[in-house]
Amino acid sequence: MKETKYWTGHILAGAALLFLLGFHFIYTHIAFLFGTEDNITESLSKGRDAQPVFLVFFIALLGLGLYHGLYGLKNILSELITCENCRKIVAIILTVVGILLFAFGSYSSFVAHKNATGMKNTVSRLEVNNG
Amino acid sequence: MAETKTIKFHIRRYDPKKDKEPYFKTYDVPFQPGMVVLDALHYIRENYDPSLAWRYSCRMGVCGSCGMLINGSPTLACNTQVATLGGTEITIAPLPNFDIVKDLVPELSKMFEKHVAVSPFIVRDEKELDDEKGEYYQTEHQLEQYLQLTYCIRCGCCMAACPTLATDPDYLGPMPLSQAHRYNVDTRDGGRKTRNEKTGSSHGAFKCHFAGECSRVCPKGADPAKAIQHMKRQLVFDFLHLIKNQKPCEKQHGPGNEPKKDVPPAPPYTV
Repeated sequence: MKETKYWTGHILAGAALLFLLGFHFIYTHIAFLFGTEDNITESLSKGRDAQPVFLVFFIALLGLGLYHGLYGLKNILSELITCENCRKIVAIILTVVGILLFAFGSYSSFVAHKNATGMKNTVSRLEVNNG
Repeated sequence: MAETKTIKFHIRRYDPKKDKEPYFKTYDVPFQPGMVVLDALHYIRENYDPSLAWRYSCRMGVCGSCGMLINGSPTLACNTQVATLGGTEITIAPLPNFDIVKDLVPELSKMFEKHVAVSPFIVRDEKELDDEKGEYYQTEHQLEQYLQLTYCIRCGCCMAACPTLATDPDYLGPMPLSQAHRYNVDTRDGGRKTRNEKTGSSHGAFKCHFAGECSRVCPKGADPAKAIQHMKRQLVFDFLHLIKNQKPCEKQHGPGNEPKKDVPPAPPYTV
């Protein structure tokens, strides 16, 4: 049943990625089709980083994408590798790589969020002082 | 008088006691209308080499003993007409994905161990099975869910055609998995949860990536590939607790089989 758990996670992550990636593409890359301004400018990107909901969104997208992709890669590699012990080693390596990438990506998102929030506060203070 | 057509049979020979590696040997066999590959093998043994080994029994596609690789496709020797193969050269080898006992005889015991591991029988309470209070009535639709899988003769052709089994010998394979599914979808059965432990393991149904070769080569026309995909869905639904009716059907009196009155009790067992 262990594999059923992983497989179910893989399927659910795939379904969730459809929505998350769909939202990401529509909001960020093809928003101009709906008459809104380009969403990939640095200031707008930093504006998104400052919002906690986008922090959660980015981390969810990262985690689900990594899990879905690396589990799929593990399945493909286990087809090519005939030695059972080598399969286990590959699975461990991919798990470690996935955790490290997730940790690094999450940390980057937090730093971006922190910087963007700090910058937003500074801009607000300057506006108050000038205004 | 017309000359008799001769067919060249290239047969892979291997005796683990004598040979280091398998090798091919060619035999000329006179063609006769209606001749099947099994007839040609008999001809070779009777006229050229009595040491040629293969397994067969019923000679009519029922027992599943004579599965072998004929012109690169796993099939039954007794069911394959030489005329339908075309050409004047035919290559015969033992089923791949199995160890070889000798010549064309594959070692099937591992396949049957996997088969036994998935409990290929109706799991019920023994007392209830013996109870004469009724019968397990099934509708035609319920029967159709598993009927084609009951045609399986365990010949091993699907196992030989499976590309996943070629790289992972521990993979359960199409025959045991489809037979597990045959009982999982049987409304009389109550053993699905137990089977899920085996079929949902790392060498179970999720290893299948739907190449579909097993269904293509099945000499009985069963569709193990489809059964495995259904099994995957059932495993996920079971894991997420999305299947409501978990209990197997109970004994009842089906239409036209109402309980008869004044039926004398069965005589006691004599053995």
